[in-house]
Amino acid sequence: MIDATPAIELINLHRYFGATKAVDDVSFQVYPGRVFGFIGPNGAGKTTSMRILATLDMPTSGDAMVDGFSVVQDADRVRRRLGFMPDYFDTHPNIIVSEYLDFFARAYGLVGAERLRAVNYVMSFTKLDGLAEKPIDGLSKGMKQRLCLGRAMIHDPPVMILDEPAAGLDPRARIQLREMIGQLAADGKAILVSSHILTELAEMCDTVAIIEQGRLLAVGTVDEIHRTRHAQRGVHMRVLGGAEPVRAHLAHRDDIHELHIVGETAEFLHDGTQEAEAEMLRQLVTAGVQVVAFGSRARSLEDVFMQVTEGLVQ
Amino acid sequence: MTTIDPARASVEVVDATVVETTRWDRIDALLAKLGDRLNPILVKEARQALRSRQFLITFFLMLIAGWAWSIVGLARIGPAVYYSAEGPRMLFVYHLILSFPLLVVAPYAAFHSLSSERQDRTFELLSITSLGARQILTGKLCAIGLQMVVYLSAIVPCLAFTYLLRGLDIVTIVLVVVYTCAFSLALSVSGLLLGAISPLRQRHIALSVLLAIGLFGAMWVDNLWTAAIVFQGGFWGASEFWLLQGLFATLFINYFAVAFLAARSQLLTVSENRSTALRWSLVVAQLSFLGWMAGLQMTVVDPDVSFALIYVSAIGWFVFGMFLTGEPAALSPRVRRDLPQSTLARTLLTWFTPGPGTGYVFVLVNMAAISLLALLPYHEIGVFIRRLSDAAYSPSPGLWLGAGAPKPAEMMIAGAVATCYLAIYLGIGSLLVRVLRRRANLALGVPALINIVLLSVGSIVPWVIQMTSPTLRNRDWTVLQIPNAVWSLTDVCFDRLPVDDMVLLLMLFPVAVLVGGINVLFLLDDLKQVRVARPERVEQDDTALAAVGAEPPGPKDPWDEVGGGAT
Repeated sequence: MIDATPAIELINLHRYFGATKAVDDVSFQVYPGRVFGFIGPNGAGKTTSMRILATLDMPTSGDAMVDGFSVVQDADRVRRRLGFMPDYFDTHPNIIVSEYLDFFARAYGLVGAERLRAVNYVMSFTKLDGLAEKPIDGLSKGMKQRLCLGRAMIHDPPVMILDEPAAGLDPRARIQLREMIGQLAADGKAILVSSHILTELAEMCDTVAIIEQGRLLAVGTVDEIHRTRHAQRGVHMRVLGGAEPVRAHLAHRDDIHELHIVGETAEFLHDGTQEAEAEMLRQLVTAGVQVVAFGSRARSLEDVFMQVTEGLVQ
Repeated sequence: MTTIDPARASVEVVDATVVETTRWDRIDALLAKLGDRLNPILVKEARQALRSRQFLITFFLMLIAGWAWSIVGLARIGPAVYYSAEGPRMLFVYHLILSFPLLVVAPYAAFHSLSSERQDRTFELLSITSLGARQILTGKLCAIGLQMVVYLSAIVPCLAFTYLLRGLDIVTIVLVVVYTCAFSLALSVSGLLLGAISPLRQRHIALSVLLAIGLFGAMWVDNLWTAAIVFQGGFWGASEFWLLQGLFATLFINYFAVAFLAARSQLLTVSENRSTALRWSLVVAQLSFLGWMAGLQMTVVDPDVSFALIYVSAIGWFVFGMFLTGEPAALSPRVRRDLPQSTLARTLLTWFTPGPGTGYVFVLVNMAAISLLALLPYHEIGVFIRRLSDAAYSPSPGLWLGAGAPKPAEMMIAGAVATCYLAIYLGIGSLLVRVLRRRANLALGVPALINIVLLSVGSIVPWVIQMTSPTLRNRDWTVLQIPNAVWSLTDVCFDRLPVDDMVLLLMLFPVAVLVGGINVLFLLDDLKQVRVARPERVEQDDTALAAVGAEPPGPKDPWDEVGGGAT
């Protein structure tokens, strides 16, 4: 069940850079134990929103709360509760992996055995055990991303903000990262994650927000957005002896679009619920159409994204 | 904040206290505990610095140079080493070798350490940790201090060797080292201050070049100073010498505190109080400076000291005023949580809260105060104290050059003229900044730049007009130069004004009152801001922190007025 208190809350957030509205009246909430996906084209305002949440930028107006603290007024308290993984990797020369994590553990006030435990746990969690003595300059992109995630979680924050964590990773590393994020959410952390890889987000996020030109276009689960946008379901059927009879039954209906019939198969888009689809199937069978296969699918996150956004860039 | 559950850790961690079986284990555990108390930045930067090529090259070059000079110097002296006073010469060259890493490399490393972190955005990730601005700066300074110690360790055997030679005593050697280290620290904190205000790459490059030139200049000055101590030593027999050391130490501490707090304020978030600690440090610096000046005057009355005090203070308060009067007028709710509340507290402490209006009054009150206090030695109390001190202390003849006749009226006028100029220029600057702020967000440097431009225009234009006028060019100060604060104040303080000082004051005073009055009208709006309650969530957090024995963020001392990023 959702905790009543949101771990992250954006309240009418605005951030202007001159005439450019990087973030324009954005509001949403993220609850503990949930993974919230932040989707939008380049320049949509995702990173700016995340930087404001991470106390690295100031909103022009509005506010953002982390665990009930304002990122504007109580940045110091927010920082203790927040793990931030930016879309870049900070380079520290002449330092090895274990020292890097040890430094951030110290910087978050961990001492003695607690610090040692945190560093070891994080290296184990991010599978960096074997790289403890390796200079961070020599790490691959995937290793750096894991190290960056490790750094963000070293103080076991209840809130994590991950900006493009999967960027540049190979498929195996992406899967590992997705598992790690799932594990962190299972541990009760509220996670806000942005990515361009929509299939990744669809698999790991409970909720998504779609942003374009600084404005929030939709918030909710993929199905919720689908419903609120009157989104269509794709239907595919196979009919013995040819699918032409289907046209006679369906072509005149207002809730059917883009009907394509090729041989025994018929494909179309349907405005409506799955119950309506079941009724449609019943009518076809009753009318003597020999339907041997019938399937419908909700539209993917990519479909929703393409439907909701217009590809506008500021 | 939650803590990591040990049960989740797949790697077993052996608690150090469990395996404490031998003496070495106990020592190890003790060192580990001590290590936990070290500033994280110091630990990280020490690890990085000791592996860096720059550090290794500098260290070994220094070591080689020290050894090389030992061999060459001794070979040059030859058998005369037994009777010739060659110690000073050897020490001076060793100091020359030491001064490069201490006065150029270390301060530049301090600047680069902070500015490059800001350029490379590593500072962002550092700033969102639990480390406050003060800890970050302290850590960086400690790391530089550690480098200084390592550099010093390379040359210490050579310095000790000079003590065995003739012509040197231990006080001289220690003084040379102390001066160089103190100078290095002062330059390092300046480097950090520059690093804190250089987020743009173009500005970073410009500041790098300027800093490098400045550091070589500082190295040259330090070597001149060292030459004076080493080759013309023997001052320390006179009590005035130690008095002077005290004055230098006070200046050093005050400069260090002001520069450190200025750098810290630049690293705080905009909602935090960036100004109060800095204002306190300025007052402390002024009071200690004034104390020294008064002390010197009570032993040797020289009106020039008072005039110099007024002149230097006017420059100083103009520089500080440029920034203080350029602060945003609206206080963040975070700052308003700690505003003084009672009538007495509001009367006394409002001037320490951020804002252009309070900054304006703060500067003028301080300038007026120092002008009045400069008169102290001529007051009856001062005369009485001087008589007492004369009985206990007699200065060495010749150290202080001629004591002129007291001129309390002229001093008062000079102080008033300086205050009027500050009121006019900073007042106009502050009004312009207020207007511009309504249209755009202004960076820190913009108000300062506006004030510099104003002063430059006010001073240079009349000067150019007079210099290009065939009838006026050969004359001294004329009425045309009334807006020229630099020329006018210099002539007033050094008694060169061709007209009565009071004439100038009477001309400036109405303008100062007018500009000051307009600023006070705006100040009244600023003063309407009152304390706001701390949010309930913050109270809850403080209670929770107090319950687990942690120290809640909050004021700890006057230097730490806000418990936020600075703590």
